[in-house]
Amino acid sequence: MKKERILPSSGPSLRQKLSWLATGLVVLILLAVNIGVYRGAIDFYFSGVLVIAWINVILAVSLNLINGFTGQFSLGHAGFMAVGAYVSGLLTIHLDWPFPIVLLAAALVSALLGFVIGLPTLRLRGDYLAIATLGFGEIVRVVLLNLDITGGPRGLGGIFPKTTFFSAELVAILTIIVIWNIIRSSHGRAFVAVREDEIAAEAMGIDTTLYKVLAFSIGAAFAGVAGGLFAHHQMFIDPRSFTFQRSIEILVMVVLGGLGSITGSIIAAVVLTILPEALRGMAEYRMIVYALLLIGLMLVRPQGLFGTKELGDFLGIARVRWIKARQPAAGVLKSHGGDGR
Amino acid sequence: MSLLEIRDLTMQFGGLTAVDRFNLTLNEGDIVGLIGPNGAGKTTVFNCLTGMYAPTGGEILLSGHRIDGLHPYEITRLGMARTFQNIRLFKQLTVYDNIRIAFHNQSKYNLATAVFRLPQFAKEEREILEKTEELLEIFGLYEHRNEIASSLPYGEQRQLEIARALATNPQILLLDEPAAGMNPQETEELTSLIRWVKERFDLTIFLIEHDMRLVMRLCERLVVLDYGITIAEGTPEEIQNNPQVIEAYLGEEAL
Repeated sequence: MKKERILPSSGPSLRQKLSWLATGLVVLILLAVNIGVYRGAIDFYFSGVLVIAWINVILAVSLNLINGFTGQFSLGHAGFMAVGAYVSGLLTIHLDWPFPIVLLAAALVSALLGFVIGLPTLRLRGDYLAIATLGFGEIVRVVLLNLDITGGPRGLGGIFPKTTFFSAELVAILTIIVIWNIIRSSHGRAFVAVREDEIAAEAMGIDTTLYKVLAFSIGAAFAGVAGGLFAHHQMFIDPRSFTFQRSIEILVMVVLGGLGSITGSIIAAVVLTILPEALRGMAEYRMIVYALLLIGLMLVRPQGLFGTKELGDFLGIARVRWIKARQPAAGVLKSHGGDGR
Repeated sequence: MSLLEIRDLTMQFGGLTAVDRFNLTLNEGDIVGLIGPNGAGKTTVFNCLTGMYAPTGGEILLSGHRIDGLHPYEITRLGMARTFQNIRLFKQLTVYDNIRIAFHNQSKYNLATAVFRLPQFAKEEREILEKTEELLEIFGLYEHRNEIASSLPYGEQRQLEIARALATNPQILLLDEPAAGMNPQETEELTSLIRWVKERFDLTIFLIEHDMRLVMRLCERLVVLDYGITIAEGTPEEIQNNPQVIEAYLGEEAL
């Protein structure tokens, strides 16, 4: 009984402190990186890697909405990214619209495609959906390969380098906020309900088809924006940048971070972008490393690094463990149950 | 006008007629039981009513509007909620989230409101929170609110499923074998719970049950199905003494 009273009173403040500490640390690192890029302390090459990291964060978080939160196994994310990249690249080259408008257009076209693809394929489940979306990604690539306006296999060059570290960062943070806020709303709970049990979700008054298509459209929109940032960073795009392998890379980030964990996706995306650069010598073995990572993870932590939890939730668990360690008497007082929930 | 009217409901799967011209009228405040041997088509009737199957014949009217052929989520929104024979909770989610999800239709804010966290969002989320806690307290599940649904004891999972169905704000509650797997004492508690919930939430209840004691004590009226055909309808006493019913349950020799 006594323990029950100790926890709620001393707990929240400590948890808050830990949360503030973690948030402060993240902000501090971000600030340092930003100043470093701004002052030129971080070289051109590495700031380029960081741009890719932000783009991967957008891709991973948006794919997590589809695969992790809504439970629809999609392997077509590179396809949506490709559409966004080409649409934005062409708009910049031929019409020279302002960059934000171009990105918005990329999002809209990708979302529309996500919607159109979503309607028929979302009648499929599990493996079949995965195969259908894989097929979609390949179709996009082959179409881009054979159109005249996209330059076919020669690719599309001469896109002005409008993506900076700061614009990529801004868009990535906006993506995180938007998806985070959607997930923590009744709409977000509907996505999760679809993942957990479609029949029960329907019985609770949730239009499961609508939410599946919605997840696909929103995910596709952000993948399109990521594609736009990518195109204006590389200045040159060709269909080889958007192969099936690219979809797998994004998927690995999502699975590694935890299907259903936004912070997990962010961390995994950043780590998996920077790690290969750190190990440049063995960059050719990147896919082997990916495969080994996946296999290792399946064995040790099948739910991914964070599972469906967020970073903050772990601080809550840490709090309980810390209190238990600090108060040996708690174990004596404890009769049963009451493990600090 | 009756609340629910089922006229000649028929459900065929290929050559098999699972339900054959089923008729039933439910008035507000009724509590009616659907009984019959295994495979009689009871759950099929439920699945037709709630839109899980599109019936191959007949009409279903809820407050005078046809609902046969609608999607399950549309029927839930019109005020018919159900539980499942083999409990279908969101197993990996907390007790709390199981209930919160069911309030989906009572939140009216759109995606943009959620993204920008407009005042309407906070207001409706607070309402959902209060209603959820109220329901959890009513069902004695409040202490378990942060537990994963599948970790609850069986009886409490059944209760949670009923609580979740109530969160959708139904007029009619369909219970598919609510006492399945319960011991006599739990069944006893469930009987009083159902009776209490019916009064508290002003419900009309239609239930499938094999436990005859529960059915006889709870229901005002019973319908008996056998091989998809309605073989009897009446008060529990009438049903108990109906030779056709005894034959369906115990075989011809028992007579």
